[in-house]
Amino acid sequence: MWRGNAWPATLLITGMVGYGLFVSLSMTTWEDYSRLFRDPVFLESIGISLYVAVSSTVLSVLIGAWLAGFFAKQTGWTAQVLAIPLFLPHLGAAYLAILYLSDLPVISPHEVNQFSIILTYLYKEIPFIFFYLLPVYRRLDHRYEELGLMLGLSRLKRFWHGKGVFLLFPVLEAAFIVFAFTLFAYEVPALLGVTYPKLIGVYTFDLYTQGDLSRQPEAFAISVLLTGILFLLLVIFTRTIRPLTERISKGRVE
Amino acid sequence: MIGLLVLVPLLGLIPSTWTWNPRLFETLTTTVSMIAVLTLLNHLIGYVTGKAIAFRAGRLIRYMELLISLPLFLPVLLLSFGLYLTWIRLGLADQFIGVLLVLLLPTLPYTIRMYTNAFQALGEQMMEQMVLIEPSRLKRFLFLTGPMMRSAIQSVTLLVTVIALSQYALVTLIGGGVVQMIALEAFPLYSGNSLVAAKEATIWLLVLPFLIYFVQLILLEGWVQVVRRLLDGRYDSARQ
Repeated sequence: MWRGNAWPATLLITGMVGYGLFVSLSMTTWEDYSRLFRDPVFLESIGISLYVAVSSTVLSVLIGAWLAGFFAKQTGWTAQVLAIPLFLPHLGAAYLAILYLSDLPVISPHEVNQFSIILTYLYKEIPFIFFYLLPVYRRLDHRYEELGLMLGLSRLKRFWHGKGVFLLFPVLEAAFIVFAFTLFAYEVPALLGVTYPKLIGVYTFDLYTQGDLSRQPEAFAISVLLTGILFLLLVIFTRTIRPLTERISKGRVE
Repeated sequence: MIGLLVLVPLLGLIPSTWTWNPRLFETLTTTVSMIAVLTLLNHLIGYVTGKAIAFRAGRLIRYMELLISLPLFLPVLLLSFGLYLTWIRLGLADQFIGVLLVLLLPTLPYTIRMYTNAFQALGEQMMEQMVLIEPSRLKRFLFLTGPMMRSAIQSVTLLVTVIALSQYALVTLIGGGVVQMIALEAFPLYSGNSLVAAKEATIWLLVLPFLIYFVQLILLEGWVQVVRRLLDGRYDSARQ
């Protein structure tokens, strides 16, 4: 029995996620979904949320991965400075944006371009990506690339077989986590965003908590729809990327 | 350069005037006890689950791993709409325990991931060795596995604290304003006009994780010291 037990956690999490989804589903009718697709406010909110989520994710993954690659080769305390934003909750990071960016043009909070939200996410997510990928980079075996060099592989192929296969899954997984978080987060966009169009997390939460109960089915429909889409994305992601990298890592003795 | 980019924004938090907001202070009891119970639960479940994911093979455990990480990829706040209705039916809404259960969703997947990584880094052979050396589970944890998992334990506590402190929407919804965590007081201050009050709230938000982190650091250091003293030569056959 020293090998542990995953049942309690699986039942707890699957139970809560599944039941939350089931209740939301039971509160909606087909009419609610078709109305959503005709609702310009909802569609615009999705558009602006995707813009914020995609740009924060791409930027933080690129910078975080670059930093991890850079610091993987050296030891020392410099990398530890990056841990400091991990101590600051997202709410606090939003306050920093209010404090510093308020009087600036273009990037101040409540601008339509949402730059302040993206910057806040970068401050929090770059360190997250960095510490997520640092052990992966440290575990890379440089002998694979040397072998590629010996076998006369092209630069691109050397990178793919030496590093790419080991990095692809963790990088995309970290990107997925950041993407899902920035897409649906409430606190930061509620403080820094504009009143119209609202980001999807804020829009749905406000729909649900408003005194007007008639809009609640709409909030439930959004919940079901977006959960479904993300779940589908996740399945496609694991189905296509995992097999690609798993074959190689399985033959590897850790 | 990077260090500067990270640190300089925090300089603005140094208080120029000393203020004391009793409303923030009153939320501390709930906040700290919530974090304490939540962290403990995370460690308990995360430890056992992370071990299973790291050391068990087969299709079933891979599916379980995927199911466990679902809250990382799905909108937890939106799913909590449905949960709230269920919590009302079960009598968990507006209750400490109801909020506690929902806060497990955004925290537990991270915890399990970190424990999985820690156990993988430790390695199966090392675990087998430890099972051979010390058959008693409690002693094995206290003397061997626990101290070796130190850095994982530290990161888990930090992450759980920071995530739990940030949850305004989730706590407002499930706690119905009855369960007063610090985010509930801090959030309105940020959208208000008083920068001084907002700054004070932010200082609390930053100080709490640091405080909890250092308290834990001292406890873990003490644990390791005690283990060192107790084990001194006891298992070392060469010494006798």
